[in-house]
Amino acid sequence: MKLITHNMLTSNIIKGVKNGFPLKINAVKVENITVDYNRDFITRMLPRIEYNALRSAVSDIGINESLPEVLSESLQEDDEFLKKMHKVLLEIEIEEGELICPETGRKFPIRKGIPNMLLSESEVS
Amino acid sequence: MFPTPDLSHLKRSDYSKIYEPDSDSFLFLDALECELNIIRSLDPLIIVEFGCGSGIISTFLSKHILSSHCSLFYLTDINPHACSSTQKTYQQNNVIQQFQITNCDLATPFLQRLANGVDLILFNPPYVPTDEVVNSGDNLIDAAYSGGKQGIEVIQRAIEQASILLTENGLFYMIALELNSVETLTLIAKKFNLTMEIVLKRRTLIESLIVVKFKRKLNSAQE
Repeated sequence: MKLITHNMLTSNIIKGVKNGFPLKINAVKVENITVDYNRDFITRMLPRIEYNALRSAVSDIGINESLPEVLSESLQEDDEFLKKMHKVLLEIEIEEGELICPETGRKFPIRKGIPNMLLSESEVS
Repeated sequence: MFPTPDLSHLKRSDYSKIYEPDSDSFLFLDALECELNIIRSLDPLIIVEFGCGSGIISTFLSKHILSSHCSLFYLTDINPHACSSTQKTYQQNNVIQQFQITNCDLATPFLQRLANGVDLILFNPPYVPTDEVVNSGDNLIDAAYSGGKQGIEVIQRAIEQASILLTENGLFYMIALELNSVETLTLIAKKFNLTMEIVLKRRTLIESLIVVKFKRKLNSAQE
């Protein structure tokens, strides 16, 4: 699971959870995967990304990648910044670990890179 | 005709756990090929496939229809074996676009964040009429078939989710049985402010299948 997926997942599917976002990450095994840089893709994705959630994901995993505190407009044209976003969104692969609902603490396992977001019926209704 | 993705890595034993691509899957691939120009001109950034199964449909789309585009695929399946099979299929076929797989029901955990943000949705749903929908337990392969009453219980939820996810010009392609669903599907689409048209039809030995396309209804100001 890459952070571009983490950024789109919420646990408000659980009964009683309001936002369920961002999910906390407990990463047990993380790999770096080289992906070809595509500026156009990152530029198009940028408006879809919740920047603060991405920053907290990076800090949860504990990787040494400093993202600026605020996503200013000038940054969105800055190649160095876009390459950093590419790296953080696409090149970090969480192989094993779990996602944790920020409100209930419910854990969603990640195995072989695939998060399991399934809930039992009693958790939904 | 584009070649079908290589599925030689999937064995007989895999097909006791996941849906084996059949005439419906191949009809879906043909429909995507018919729609090639429309899909390419949409230039989809975010694509969602509900119930990706073996991964054949998205792999085909990525390799042949959108090979020169930069797109991100979010693939989901309720069946963990389907998720790992899809992972193997895109690796086997050297897919270069981003494939992200999540083990979940339709796109439920994505609905909030991807609302109005998905350009293209694909679904080969469980459409066989059954007493109830299977979505848990040991026989998850049944989830690939069991469509519930009239075969449309899962389909109805998928259309509702598509109505939340699609961008203004987004498209949702889906397989259905012609027999009992055209009128019903049109009504469900209408309820969620979508329009539906039939893209392709094919009669097989046992059933008559259609591929349908949903899009957002234009509001009156645009008409």
